[in-house]
Amino acid sequence: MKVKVRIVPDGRHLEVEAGVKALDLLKLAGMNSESGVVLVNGRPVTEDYKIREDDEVTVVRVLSGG
Amino acid sequence: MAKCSICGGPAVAYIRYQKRYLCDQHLVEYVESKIRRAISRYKMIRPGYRVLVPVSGGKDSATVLTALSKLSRELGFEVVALHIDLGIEDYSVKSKEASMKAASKLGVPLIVVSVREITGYTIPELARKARRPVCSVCGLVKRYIINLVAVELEADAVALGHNADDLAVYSMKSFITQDLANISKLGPKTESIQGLAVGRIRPLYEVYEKESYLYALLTGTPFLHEECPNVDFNSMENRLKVHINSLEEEKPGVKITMLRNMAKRIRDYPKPKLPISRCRHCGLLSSGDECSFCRLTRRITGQPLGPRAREVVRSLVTSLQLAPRQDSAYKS
Ligand SMILES: [Zn+2]
Ligand SMILES: [Zn+2]
Ligand SMILES: [Zn+2]
Repeated sequence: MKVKVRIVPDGRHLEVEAGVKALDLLKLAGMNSESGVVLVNGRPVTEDYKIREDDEVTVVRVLSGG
Repeated sequence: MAKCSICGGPAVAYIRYQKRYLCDQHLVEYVESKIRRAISRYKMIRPGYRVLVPVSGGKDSATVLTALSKLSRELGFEVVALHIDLGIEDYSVKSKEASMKAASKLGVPLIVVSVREITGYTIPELARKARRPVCSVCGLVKRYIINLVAVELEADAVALGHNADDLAVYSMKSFITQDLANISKLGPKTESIQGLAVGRIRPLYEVYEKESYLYALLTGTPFLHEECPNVDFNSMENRLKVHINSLEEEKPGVKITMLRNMAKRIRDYPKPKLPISRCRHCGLLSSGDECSFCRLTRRITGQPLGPRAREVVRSLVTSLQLAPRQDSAYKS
């Protein structure tokens, strides 16, 4: 089962299989544990969290440009 | 799902260099304790201070504003917020909205200064007329207005939103270009120069960028995810940010070690050799007899606009109706 992932602030989207870990999701989005945060239903989750089918998932790049 | 190392509640973050999981409440307390410790370790704020917090609408200034407004009651100082409307299209409209919401939620008085109202032009227009990069004109104008408002407020300190990642990257860039004098300006605090310039403090000196984001999010302070459309993600700073964070992932704590050591060694770096004088138009800090804001606006409009900026800001400050400063450290 695929889960749709929104990437902020880029506005891109990704599709991943349910069961993928938050840390792997960050890597798929080109980030790591320092540069990004995974939000599930608007709440941050730790890197070992496994994405579920009905999760609303956002990956936020927390490094801002300057 | 991981549990908070303190209370066993559901964890929202793992702090790698401390090997600790934290729940939302303990993450907020953890960031606040880091800020409180930095304020005391680096002697940033004393009781009775008036602290100006410039807010851009982004996460870092939202974090500074939230944390300082909470700590102001505990430590006995005053907080005033400032938003500068740069006139960068949609982005500025949204940043102003976020800043106003944050200030009103926290009950902090807010001054909004419009670049267009002072100069007749927006930042992109000023940059075009001056034939200079937008971000360099933007930086110049912001620095000038922030200092001007701080002087008019008789503030004791300006609290900037630079986080540990920003500062690590600025200092790495200065090392690469061997602009060592610039590193001397990147410490946790710089001193005021009576009547000319108000000193800066960096309460997020030891707060990682990710922690700053989580703090703003979990305290519910309104902020804008969107960034200024002029940001160049290929700039040296932004490239270095990616690199230092892959290093941090492999060697947790490397950023904090670098910054603590930098604070200890900051006096060993050469000081910038600019002479300190007063602008003949506006009377504020300048390296010659005309400050860079007055020079920029004189070239574009035929008139140095520092004096007009002072007038506008003075009336904005008056209309805030703050209690008069009595035991101001600024005056003594
Ligand atoms: Zn907890
Ligand atoms: Zn900009
Ligand atoms: Zn001037």
